[in-house]
Amino acid sequence: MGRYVLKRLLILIPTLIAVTIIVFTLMNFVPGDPVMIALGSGTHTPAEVEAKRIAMGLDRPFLVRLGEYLKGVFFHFDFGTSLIDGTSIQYQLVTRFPNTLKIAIYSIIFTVVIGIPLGVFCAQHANSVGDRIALIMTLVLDSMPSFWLALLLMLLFALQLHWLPSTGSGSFKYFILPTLANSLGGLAGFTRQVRASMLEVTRSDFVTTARSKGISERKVVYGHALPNALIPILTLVGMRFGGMLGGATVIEVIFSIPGIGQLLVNGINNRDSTVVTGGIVFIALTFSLIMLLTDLAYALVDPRIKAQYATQKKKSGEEEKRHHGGHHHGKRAEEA
Amino acid sequence: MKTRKLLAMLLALMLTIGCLSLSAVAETSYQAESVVIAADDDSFNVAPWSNSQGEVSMYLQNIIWTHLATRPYTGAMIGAGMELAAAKEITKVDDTTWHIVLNDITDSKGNKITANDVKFSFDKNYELGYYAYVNNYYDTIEVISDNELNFKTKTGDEGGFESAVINTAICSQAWYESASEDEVLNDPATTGAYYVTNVQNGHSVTLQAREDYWKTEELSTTEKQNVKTIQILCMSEDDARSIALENGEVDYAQVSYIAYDRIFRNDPNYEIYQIPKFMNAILIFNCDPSSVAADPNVRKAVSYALDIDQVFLLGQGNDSYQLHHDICPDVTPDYVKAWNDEDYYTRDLAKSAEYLEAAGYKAGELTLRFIVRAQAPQQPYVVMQQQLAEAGINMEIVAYDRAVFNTYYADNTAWDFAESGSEVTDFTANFWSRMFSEEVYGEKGSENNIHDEKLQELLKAAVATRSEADMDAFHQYYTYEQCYAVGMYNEVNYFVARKGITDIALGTDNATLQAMTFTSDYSPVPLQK
Repeated sequence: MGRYVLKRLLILIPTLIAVTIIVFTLMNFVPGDPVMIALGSGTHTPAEVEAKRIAMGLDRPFLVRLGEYLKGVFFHFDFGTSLIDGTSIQYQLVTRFPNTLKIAIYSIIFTVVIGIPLGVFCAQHANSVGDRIALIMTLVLDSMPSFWLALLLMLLFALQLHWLPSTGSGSFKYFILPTLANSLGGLAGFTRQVRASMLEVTRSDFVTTARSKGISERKVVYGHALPNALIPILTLVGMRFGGMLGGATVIEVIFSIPGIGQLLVNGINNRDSTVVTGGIVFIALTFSLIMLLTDLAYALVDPRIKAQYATQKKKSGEEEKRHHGGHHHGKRAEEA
Repeated sequence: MKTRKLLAMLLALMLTIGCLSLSAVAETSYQAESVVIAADDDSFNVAPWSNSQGEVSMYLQNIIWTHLATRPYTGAMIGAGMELAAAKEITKVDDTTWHIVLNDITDSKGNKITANDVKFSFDKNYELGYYAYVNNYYDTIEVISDNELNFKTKTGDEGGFESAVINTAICSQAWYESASEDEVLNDPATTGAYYVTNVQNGHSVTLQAREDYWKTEELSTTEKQNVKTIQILCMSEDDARSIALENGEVDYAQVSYIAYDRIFRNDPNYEIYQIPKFMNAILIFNCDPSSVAADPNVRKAVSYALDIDQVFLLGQGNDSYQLHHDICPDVTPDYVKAWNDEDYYTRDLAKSAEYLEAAGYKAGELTLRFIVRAQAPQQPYVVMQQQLAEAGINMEIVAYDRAVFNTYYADNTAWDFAESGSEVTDFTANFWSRMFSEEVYGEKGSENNIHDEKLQELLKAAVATRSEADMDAFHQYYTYEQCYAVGMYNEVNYFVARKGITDIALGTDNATLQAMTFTSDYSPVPLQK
């Protein structure tokens, strides 16, 4: 297992470096002069523009700047400073990330808590009226654009019922509407995935065997079928969670939650290339880490992966033994 | 002994009552306990100088930082409407030198502000290069003593000193250089009338009136403390701001025209304030010889074919705008009111046809490229296209993403006419100068590639004297004789406040939330945590 983790960590490094190089290069060549953006509106003399270019280090060759950027990101976690307000992007990311993380965690919990039981129910009652109703309901939610759903929720729960605040990011109650708007749409896909996975597993031999042993249906479903059906779902959860950490952009903007998504939108709107580069690299980093954790969790719960590494370990142990044994034999032979 | 005890108790009682009454006076000196504002913004910076030009940063500049002087309205000048803040006296020594005596200033952390700090603030602002006016006009500061200095400008242009002064926040050098980034961005040593109590990056900033504010008399608009606590929330979504206002989560917000029209317009629980946007729209012609618009007859044919009123009304679907009779709107002291009575370019298809013929084109033969930003609402341009088609002129709309728009706009062969926009800061003459002066544009001649000696002579005279005669001479020449550019409109912003807020005190050059006024029965919404 340790080798598996190490292997995955080693793959992560070149992936992140490649992402950083690609994003930095692309942002370097998109139209728009960062110096003019940094100088802001108004008339600037060529001398002022040149002085600013030198001050920003943009007079140096591209490769030198790329090298320094890579060094800053990977050795000091330094993503540079914003062209617009001069603040460090690290500060922006660190202060905004908790909000994005909260939305992602709440949303994934909501999706799992609602989606798994619903998916199991649909699988147990496949093609029944309940299954069809659940399918239609989730598809309706899925087909609603999240910005529209967000505004509807805001109008209903904030403006009409006065149960929840419409915007903000203070306590838990501020995150209820954003969580709903962020997760309701994706619930359909998740529920259908759980349903399909459960149907597949319930048709397996081991489930038939369990049933033939006279085990209660409840135990068969929740004790035998569900744990096996959840293995492919785990990857889905990991990918969704990783994606959410990239910022639920629309949700953050509508509910005025300062998160990573909102930062990126600002950066794009303002042509703040350093913010966009830093934001994307940070998202790539968090996404890669979440996918690593997902794969580790997958390895933990999937006996096949465990068995695969256990077999490899065993084989290597035997080889080592043989090697050592051979060595000893050789020694003995020499001694003789 | 008993008498002494009684006297002591009496004295203590009197002192207690005195203290209580004093604190009561202090509390009631604010017109309102708090106000919560939803701003159309999604990021801000409380640091003294930043490139951030959003609504929140604009408010913060005047609430938490002091400036040598402030401008309560467009065109106010030193000695003619400008209010002194950090400066106690400002005297003009010569065209480029100003002698300044400072007030006795301390920041919110107790640091004394001296002339050296003022010099540091201007030098730092210049070095950062965020404000074009500061870099264009500020030259140097010569420190005379702790509270006296000589301020030198690069040129003797009227309004230059004022523009540099209102755009430079003053702070303590010792504090700024020793503070960590976290302190600068969350807990700055403010020199203005308020200090920062809470910052949630990208979400909100809460400000509290300074009880130790260094000035108590002759307060400028930006130094008022009408409200004890100001909380500004970032809400970049129009609908979110309207809902928050309706839901009683904020006291005041800028709303869209649709929200104003459908929700707030006729609701007696709200006060509506209509304020023109800073940027005004101008129809500008490319006068480079490579463009068909180099011919004044073509420019006039186009101008007479358009009905700007209808362009906005049909294009935007609402009447939230003010039409112009010059490229500069009627907000400056040197604007000649008589221009508003001129016909300007009222739509006249017969005249348009005459000019088109004079230019040598028959109906349908002339095509002009209209360059626009792809992000701008395109409907008004489609209306223009239809109006020009009725006059036999083809208009090709060429939309570029704003990232590359300036590149094409700077290319004198890439367009024939365009919608330009500019901000009015002080005078109409200065506004014209920033658009047409060859001193600003060098070989390019002007923003729209004009090489016209008479235009430059008239412009110099208008800028030098700002007399009605010189102003009118330039206006008549560039508008009617040459038709180099035509003023279009300023869109209007709608600010809605809950009942009880009687004045929102917003102007072009100063956004002074601290000078809002309130009725005695005003009850604020709770501050957001």
